[in-house]
Amino acid sequence: MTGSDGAAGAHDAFSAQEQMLLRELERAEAGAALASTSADEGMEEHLLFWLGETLCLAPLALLREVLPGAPPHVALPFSPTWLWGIFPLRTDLVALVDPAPLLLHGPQAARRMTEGESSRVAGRSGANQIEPQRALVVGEGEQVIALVADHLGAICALRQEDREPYTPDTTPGAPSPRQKYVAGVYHLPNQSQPALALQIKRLCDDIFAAIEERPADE
Amino acid sequence: MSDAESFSRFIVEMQALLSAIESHCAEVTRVETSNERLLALREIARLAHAVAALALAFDVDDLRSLAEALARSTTEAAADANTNSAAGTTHHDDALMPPGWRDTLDFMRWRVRCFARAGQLELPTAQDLTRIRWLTRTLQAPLSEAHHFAASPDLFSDASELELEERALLKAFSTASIRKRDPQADARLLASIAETPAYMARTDSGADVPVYGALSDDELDEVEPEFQFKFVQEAHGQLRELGRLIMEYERRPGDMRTLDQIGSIAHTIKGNAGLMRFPGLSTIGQNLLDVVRGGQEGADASSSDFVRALGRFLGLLDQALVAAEKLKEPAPALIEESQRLCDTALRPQSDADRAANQSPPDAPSRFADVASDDDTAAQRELVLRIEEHSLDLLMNQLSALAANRGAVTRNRSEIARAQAEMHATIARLREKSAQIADAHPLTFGVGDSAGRFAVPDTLDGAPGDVATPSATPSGALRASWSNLQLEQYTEMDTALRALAEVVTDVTANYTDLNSLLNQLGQLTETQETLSRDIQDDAMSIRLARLVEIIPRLRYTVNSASSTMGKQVGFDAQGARTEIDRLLLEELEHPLIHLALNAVAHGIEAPEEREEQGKPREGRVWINAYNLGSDVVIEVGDDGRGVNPYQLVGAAIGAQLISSEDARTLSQAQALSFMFHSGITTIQQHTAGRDRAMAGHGVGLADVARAIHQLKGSISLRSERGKGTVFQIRVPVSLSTAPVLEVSAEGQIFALPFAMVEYSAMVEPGALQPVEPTEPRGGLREWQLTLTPPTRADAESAEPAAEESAPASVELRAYALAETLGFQQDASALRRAVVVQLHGQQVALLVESVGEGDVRVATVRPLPPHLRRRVVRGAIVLPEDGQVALLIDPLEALAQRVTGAQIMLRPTPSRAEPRMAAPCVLIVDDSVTIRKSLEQTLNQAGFKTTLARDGIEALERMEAELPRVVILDVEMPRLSGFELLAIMRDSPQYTQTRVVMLTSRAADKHRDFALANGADAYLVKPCPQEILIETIRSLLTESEPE
Repeated sequence: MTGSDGAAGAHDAFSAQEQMLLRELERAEAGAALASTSADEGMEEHLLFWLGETLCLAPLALLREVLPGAPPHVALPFSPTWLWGIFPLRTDLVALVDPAPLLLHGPQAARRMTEGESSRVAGRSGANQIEPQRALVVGEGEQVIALVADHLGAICALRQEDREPYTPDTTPGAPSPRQKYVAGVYHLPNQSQPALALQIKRLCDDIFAAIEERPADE
Repeated sequence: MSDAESFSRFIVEMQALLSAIESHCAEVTRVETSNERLLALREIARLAHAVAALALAFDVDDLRSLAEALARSTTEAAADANTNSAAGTTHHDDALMPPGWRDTLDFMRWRVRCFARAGQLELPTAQDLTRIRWLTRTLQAPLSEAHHFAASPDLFSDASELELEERALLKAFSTASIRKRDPQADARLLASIAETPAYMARTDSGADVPVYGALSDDELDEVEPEFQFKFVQEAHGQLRELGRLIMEYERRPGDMRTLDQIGSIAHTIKGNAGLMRFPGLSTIGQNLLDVVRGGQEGADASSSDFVRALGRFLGLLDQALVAAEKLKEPAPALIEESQRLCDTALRPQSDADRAANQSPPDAPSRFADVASDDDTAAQRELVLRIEEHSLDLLMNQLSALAANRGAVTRNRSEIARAQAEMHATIARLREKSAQIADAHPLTFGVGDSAGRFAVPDTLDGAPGDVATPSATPSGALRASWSNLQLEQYTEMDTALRALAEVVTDVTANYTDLNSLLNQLGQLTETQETLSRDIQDDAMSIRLARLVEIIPRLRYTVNSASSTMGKQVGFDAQGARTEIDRLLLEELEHPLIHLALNAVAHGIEAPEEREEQGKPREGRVWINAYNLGSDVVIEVGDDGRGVNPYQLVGAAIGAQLISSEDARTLSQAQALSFMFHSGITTIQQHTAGRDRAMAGHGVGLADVARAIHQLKGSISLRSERGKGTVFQIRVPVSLSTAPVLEVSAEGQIFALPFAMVEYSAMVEPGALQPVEPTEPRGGLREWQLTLTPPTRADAESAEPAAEESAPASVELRAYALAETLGFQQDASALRRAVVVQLHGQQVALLVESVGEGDVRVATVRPLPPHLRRRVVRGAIVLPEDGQVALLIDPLEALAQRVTGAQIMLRPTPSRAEPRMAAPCVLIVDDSVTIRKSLEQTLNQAGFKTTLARDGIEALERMEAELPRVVILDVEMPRLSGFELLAIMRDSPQYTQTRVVMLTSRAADKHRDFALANGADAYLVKPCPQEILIETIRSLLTESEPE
């Protein structure tokens, strides 16, 4: 088994803000029209999170739940290193995936992948992995996946017209995400760098395709 | 739920309800007793109420009113039936149904299809309303003006009138929880319903004509493959039932009730096949239906032509269905044959034909023993169809419940630990309190005689038992007690008193808490037991009895033997053995293939059997039984058996094995070549027709592959002239499996226990690296010297070694983690788990093997995108609720190590006699020498036969030709030298090697023996190693015959 040894501690450390976030997510799951009030105002709510130094935004409507820390998981044979493993989530078996290698280019992704490669042993795969503070569960039906995230931020209600087109040089000095996964960028108050609005569904589709087992002759 | 979803579900559920009504209507004409008819009528009424409720919920008043009318009229019909039954009056079955019911049902179905086509609910047209009024009148339930198209608020005032099914359906609408919703599938089904042919109305002349909105041919062209696949699955079940009915009919030719049921299935297959665009299958179904109708309308339904035709139709439908599985049409010849069969069966018979076809009254039917009363009763059991994914979902939820149960157990342990700590803490508190009281005695004691506060002595005492300051003043002090003295208490005194009270309260609270926790513990245990029972029961839902496929197997054997001109009887044992229904369905074709194989290639012609002293009638049998958590199914025959030498020769010819390696094969390994494609022993004795019957285009290789896909194994044993037995071993269920937990690189894996031979410690220095002949992507190979567990060792959970084992064995070994693509620290490999791969033992190295009993675990399939060939699924570990992957070790090895490499390096099998030395004949007049040599050679893996002198040796050699003869010189009747001379003069013994083993050490004896044809000359006492080495070296000089 791998995972966070300090899961209980992490749970205790849940901030009031995060508790509120979870309540909001529960409301969303229960069908409460969380976005409906803001929809009238042309707003869409996003969850802010960090992948390394990169600020990302995920539409709240696509999130199923947020897990406090990486859940204990088991490594799956013949899988890419960024598929950390699988874990039981109630009646589902869910893949725990580090989206960074797919999402990011540059040294950060390389570092993650290299560390993953060097630690590719069955039960100890988490030993050198970057310990995430949260896992974001997205998807529906059998297509559920948990994306590891380094930090969580606030829920941001954003207007689509405030979104700016993304170009790789928009974020000098930081790793450049692949353009296909970024819908655009937002400049948030109190943040020194722009936040990337992710195309979560497209990212997940590619992850699902990438982690499927290929026939031996391919 | 969106409007679109609601609408979609309305259509789907309404369709399901109407189908259920139709099914019960068919029951009314089908069932045997008046009580059963009555029940069926009541079911129709209840389901019609459910339709009315759905229609009411969606304001579809015309459907609602029609359904109400149908419900009322059917209720009245049920009451009439009840009255008539009591009065002893009988009716024709169809007369029990209210007039117009069929048209009413058809109309309602048509309305639903119209909705589906339009994608919305529509008001009835004026023409529809006319039709509805007419139908309502026909149902003899005219609506009152006040009732007309109005809601019926008291329709379901008494919920108890609703059956469980109806309530469940209604619940599905309100909560969407009864089955997993798949919007895409529903949408497709919706489209399919919309595409079905238009409503057909029956005119007075009896013809069916389209009335409303017939679709164009273009609209009808496309059928979703998903629906075709479902149809094929369903049709397989219908064919099974058809097979049973046809055999029933053969047992009682002319039985109209059975014929009606056959016709009903033929009608269903014909109709559905046409709908699903399988016109060939539909035509064959139609021809069968014509035959049945002919029988119902006066043709001689008890003639042998008629009965044979029914049997043959089963085969034709089966073959057409096999084609349909591949979305293909059957060969035109099949359709033509069905037409010919139809003509033949309905041909008017002359008296001579009739006499010729008539069976003697006391002649037992070929299928007289087909359906026992129990079997028939089993068939009549009420069957509720449940979609597989719904059952899987239930199993997953129960698995999650089991994991949660583990968490509860862990928490209980934690609570018990906390209880113990609390107990100790209170004891310390009591002790400290007493110490303080001792250190500060009261001036005017309100404690004991020593002036101390009392604290409870035990934690088990009731609160009332604890002495308090006010309750225990000493007798001496009590006399001088006055209220003024209270003011003399210091703050310390008050604090001490308060402390004593706190101790008392804590003790009391602890006692209460303890009692409650104990009660909770008992309740939790009960809960655990119940949830385990539920899990077991849920698993048993998937199980079906083997008896379901026995009739078809029996029919196959009888039909094939009749075609091939052989006499074959069929026996079935263990038909009540239970197995996962999906597995049973998957096993059906392999078992049929094996049964056909037995008839075609195993059983000899009657004359040939007679020549061999066998009864003219051969036997093919199936035997099933449980073995642990597996089911073993054997298909055997008493035919000619399999020649292993022929198989090995074919394997060498096909370059599957070298002639050198072939020498060391065991008989089981040689026979396993049967499962290689392209290897066959079929020769002249099998006529082309027989080959065609048995072949079916599916070889034993495909059978083996199918069994392997079911996570099972297949093997065979055979004896020349006595028969062959194929043994299939599959798990009872794919959703549960006994597993052995092992750990590798810190991760727990589960291995299917059935695949594990045994496990053993890896001693230091026992692993020797082997240089790979080709790169294997990080997978290292070792040569492992291993001491298998003895039988006594194996009394534990680990599988037993079946035979007495040699002290140690040499095995190829691989680290389990590396076969899965992970890294492995070799120094941590302490245990070896031995599995069979292609008839050879291979060791998987792990760090540890789980302690305790083998666990029977629920196996959860991985989601599609996470599936791996090496992973069978995941099990939940009850200890921590986490998962462990269930690994298929053979797949893991096969993926990293080619099967050929493993196969070409066979290691000695411990249990089986060696085929390379099939027989060593020991000829010696000393019983001690004979027995001693027998033991020595058997331990070395040779098969032995014994003879006391030369004469007996010749008799033994007649019975079985030995490869080597160990020959003494001085013996009674015929000496060793005399026997040697005879052998060397006889051509049949030229390939037999002779080792002289004698106490005569002189050169003249040696020279004489060698000059007269001895291959080796050894002097007693001879070391065992030299004798064995001599035999082996002689064997390497000769090829297997």
